[in-house]
Amino acid sequence: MNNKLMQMTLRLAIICAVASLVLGVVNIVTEPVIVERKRAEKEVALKELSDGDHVGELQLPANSDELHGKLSAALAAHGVIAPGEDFNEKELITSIYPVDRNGEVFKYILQLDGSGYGGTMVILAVFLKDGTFVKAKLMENNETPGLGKKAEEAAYYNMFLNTGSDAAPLPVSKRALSPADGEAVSGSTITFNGISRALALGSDYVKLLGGKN
Amino acid sequence: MFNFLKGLFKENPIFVLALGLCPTLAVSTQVVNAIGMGAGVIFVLIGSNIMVSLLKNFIPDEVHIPAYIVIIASFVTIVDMLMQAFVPALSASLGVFVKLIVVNCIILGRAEAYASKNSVKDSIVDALGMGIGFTIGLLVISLVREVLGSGTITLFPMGNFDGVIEIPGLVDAPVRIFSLSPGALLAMGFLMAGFNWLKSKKKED
Repeated sequence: MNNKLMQMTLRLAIICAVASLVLGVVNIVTEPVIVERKRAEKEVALKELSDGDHVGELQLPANSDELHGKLSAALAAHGVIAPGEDFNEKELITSIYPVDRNGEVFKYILQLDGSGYGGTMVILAVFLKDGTFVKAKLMENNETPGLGKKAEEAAYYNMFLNTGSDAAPLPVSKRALSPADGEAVSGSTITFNGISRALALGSDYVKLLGGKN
Repeated sequence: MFNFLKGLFKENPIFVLALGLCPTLAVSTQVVNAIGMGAGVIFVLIGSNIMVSLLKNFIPDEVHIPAYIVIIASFVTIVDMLMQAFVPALSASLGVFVKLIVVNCIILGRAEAYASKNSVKDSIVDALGMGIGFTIGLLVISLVREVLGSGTITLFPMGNFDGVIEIPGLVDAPVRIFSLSPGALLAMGFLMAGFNWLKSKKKED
């Protein structure tokens, strides 16, 4: 009995080891190509989102309890997180690009990670200094073709236009949308939730940056 | 020869065996998706059938399903990585369905029902027949859905050709429901009925 179990385990382990080896070799070949392609795609997207203005790069501030506290309070107030719910903004906001004209920062492009139906979605979103959403582009994602994939279209983000400031909160639930917009995102609620929450986080974060470059 | 042809018509995976219907219904919005998905499934089917047939005496019966899944998942991951590196537009368009080839019933079904009991040569022929049969089925559904639902036929862009053929008359007034999920079920239902009618007619003759 023990011998049989050992033999089964060993054979399955050999199959797994060979499969891992083959995948490792394929990864060595494809990884540099994928990394270079993603870098080029991001460069094109940043150029497109900045409308030709100068794009800098801001280092994410070191963990600051004060900033984290203010952000948590703002997100809880907007219904993005439950009161007391913990999150790490450094895992969700992966890059910050201040956009300046004649040396003065007037908007930010944030790289945000949202949680979609097919896993993590990478979103590049543009906000004015007061947190108002301007436009966004969905980069890497594994959303469903015909449903969540609609978020790759620029028109998808029209429902967020001119929201995000203190006067006009960004919609983070389908109930906050107009009936037409609500219908447009039906069938892809998880994608909508992931994107709207990421945008709300970005919007509140930008407000706290206060024009820093 | 029969072994190859059975996958195309008599045992067509989509219209007769009704296998792999989830990806079929989901990605059949554009012809280019059908070509990409079909190519991916053919590659994985051939690869997994060869490996399962080669290892049929090595894999213990008690763990044959986990072993098949490891083999199939490895080929799917290879397809996914190659697509991401060399055909990123197709990879983005197919999204999660490339990864879901792992659980496509056709692949596991052929490994279990055919490759585990037959020679490597016969398993390759079976994989080719089933893979091409699946691709043809997917192409027919995609063609109906895209032409009626969008008034276009989307292929790969080449040189000055942007990859999109517009159908005059339909491109401005398409039957939108065919691009949506209910359209997938409608197209599939009518095509399956047509396929069965053809089969019964052939039998009568």
